[in-house]
Amino acid sequence: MQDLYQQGLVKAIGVANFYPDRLVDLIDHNEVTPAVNQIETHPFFQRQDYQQLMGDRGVQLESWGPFAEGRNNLFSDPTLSQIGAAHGKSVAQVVLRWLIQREVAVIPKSVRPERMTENFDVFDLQLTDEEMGRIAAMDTGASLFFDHRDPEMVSQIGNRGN
Amino acid sequence: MSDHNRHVTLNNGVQMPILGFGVYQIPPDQTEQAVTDALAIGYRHSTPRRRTATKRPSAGPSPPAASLGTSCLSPPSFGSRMAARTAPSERSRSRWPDSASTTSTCT
Repeated sequence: MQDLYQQGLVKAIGVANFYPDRLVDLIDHNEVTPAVNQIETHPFFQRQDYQQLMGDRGVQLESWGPFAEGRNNLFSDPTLSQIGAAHGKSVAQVVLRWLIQREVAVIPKSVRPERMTENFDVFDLQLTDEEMGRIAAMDTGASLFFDHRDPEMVSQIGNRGN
Repeated sequence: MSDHNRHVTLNNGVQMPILGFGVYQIPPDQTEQAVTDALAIGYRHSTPRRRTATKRPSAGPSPPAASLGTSCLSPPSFGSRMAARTAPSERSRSRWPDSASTTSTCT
C-alpha cells in the first residue's frame, strides 16, 4: 500500500479495525501514517478516548455500523427517539448527525434510495450540547459484534473465502 | 443545509466528505444500482468495506489496497463503470464537481 501511495496511485491509505495498540505499532514502524481508520462506532460503542488518540496521531476516525445494525433496539431507543422528535428527524438522522458533530466520518449503507436520501439529509440539523451529552451517556464501551483481538476470530476472518 | 456535504481534511491534506456511502453487505447484484442511486443523491465518498481474503462481492478486479479497507479510494470497477455511464462533459460539469479523478471520490 505504501508503494502504491508513493507512486501516486492512491490518494491516501486507510485501514480498518485497528485497535489502539495495533494502530500505534503500525504508525511507529511504517513510513506512511494511515489517513483513516474505519472501526465500529455507534452510540453503544462511541470510541471517545480512541478518537482522541487517533487525532493526536493524525488519523481520521471513520465509523462502520453507525446504527449498530439495529442491535440494542437502536431504532426505538427512547433517548434517540426523543431527540429526533424534537428536531423532526429520525433516529438514524440523529445518529449520523451526532457522529458528524463529533467529526467522525461515517458511511451508512442502504439499497433504498429513500433511505439514502434520508441519511444524507442531516446537514440542517444541529444537536445541542445537552443532546450530545445524553447520547454520550449511552456508551457501553464495548463492541456489539465481535472481538478483533480474539485469535479464534482473527483466524476465521483471515481464512474466509479460502 | 448549512454545511452540506462538508469535508474532513486528512493528514496529507486530502479532503474527504465526512458523510459517505457504505456498500458492505449489499448483495453484489445490487451494488452497482445502489452506488448509482447514491451518486445521484449527492454522495461523493464510498468505501468497499471488503474483508481481507474474502471473495469479491462486486464485479471487477480491485487493487490490493481495497481489500484492507480504504476510505479515499474506490475500486476501479466503481470509477470506470461510473465513468462509462456518464459523458466526460457531463461528468466534469456535475457528477464530480470537486474531484480530479473518476476513480476517487476524494479531492
